[in-house]
Amino acid sequence: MSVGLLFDATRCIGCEACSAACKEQNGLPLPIEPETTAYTFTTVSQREGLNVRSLCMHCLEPTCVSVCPVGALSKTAQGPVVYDAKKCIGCRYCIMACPFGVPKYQWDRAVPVVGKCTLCSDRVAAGLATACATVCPTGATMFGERDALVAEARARIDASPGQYVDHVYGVEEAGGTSVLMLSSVPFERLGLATDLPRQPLPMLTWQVLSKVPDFVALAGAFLYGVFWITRRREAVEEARRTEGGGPR
Amino acid sequence: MNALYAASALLALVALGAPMRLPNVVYDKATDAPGPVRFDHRTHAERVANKCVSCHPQTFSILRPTRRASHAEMEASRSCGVCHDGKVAFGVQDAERCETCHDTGGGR
Repeated sequence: MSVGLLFDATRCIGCEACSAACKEQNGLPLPIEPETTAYTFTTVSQREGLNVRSLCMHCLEPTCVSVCPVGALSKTAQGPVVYDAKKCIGCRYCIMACPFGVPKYQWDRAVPVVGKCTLCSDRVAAGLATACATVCPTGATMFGERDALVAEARARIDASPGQYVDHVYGVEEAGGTSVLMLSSVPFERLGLATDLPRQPLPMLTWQVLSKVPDFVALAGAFLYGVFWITRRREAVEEARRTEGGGPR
Repeated sequence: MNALYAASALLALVALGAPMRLPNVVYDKATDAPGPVRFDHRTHAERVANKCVSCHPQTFSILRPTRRASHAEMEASRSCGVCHDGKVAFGVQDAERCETCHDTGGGR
């Protein structure tokens, strides 16, 4: 079982308690910036008359994890996608790879690291809800088991179909995410990526990468074959020259 | 389009009308205080247009409720004194107005 968050944009009043709690929980410097940065892991912005949170979606099969060459990013069994700054070499491949544009870099530091929401992995491991869900005064951000949150989201849509877009964002996007969203306005108008494949993105590269061993073996065999034929031809040529009295 | 905006506005109202989880904070009576202080979260939130970030987390922790506040802090423009300085909101030094914050048990 893994945990997640359900964010219901129709319940958010834009009070930014989540952003404040996130700053405090992660010991991040103030102020709360208007967009997520390496020091602001979650923001609330107004779009189409709704308040929309921006945070790491915590993909079930995260692209950032699959591309990280040193394993600094990992998906924990409980759900959070966590980052280990001690392992990070600063290649920033995760920043390029994330379909949601989440990881941010400390461009102003001499020895920078990546900053992103960790779904309060420490709190979650201790059996607590994330800081943002704990302080949310309206229940717009809800913490729980992902399966239960999907059911809750579907129940809300079924209970008042006119109030919601008939889609739970995050159930299928990029193969599914631990963070789910509900809205009364089409998600693309909230600035969310809606053109994402339904398959996990790491599958795209896995289709190639998984063939590398076969390719190496086949290419090795082929090149050895070429080498063998060339050497054989040279040996035959050499023998012919020796028998025929050599070149003039 | 307009219908959608109207719907959004209605939803916003519904969201605002929903019960908000804003726990009041009770400061126990200090030895030299005239009485305990009950902080009314809702009234304060309304004053700052429900922007929790007006006070959290720079002035008050949002995750761990503050249990103590001293007049010394307030007079140094910290704690409640960030706003209660006599300019933004009423000051905390007025000896005639203790009961605005302190519950003195009806003059006991």
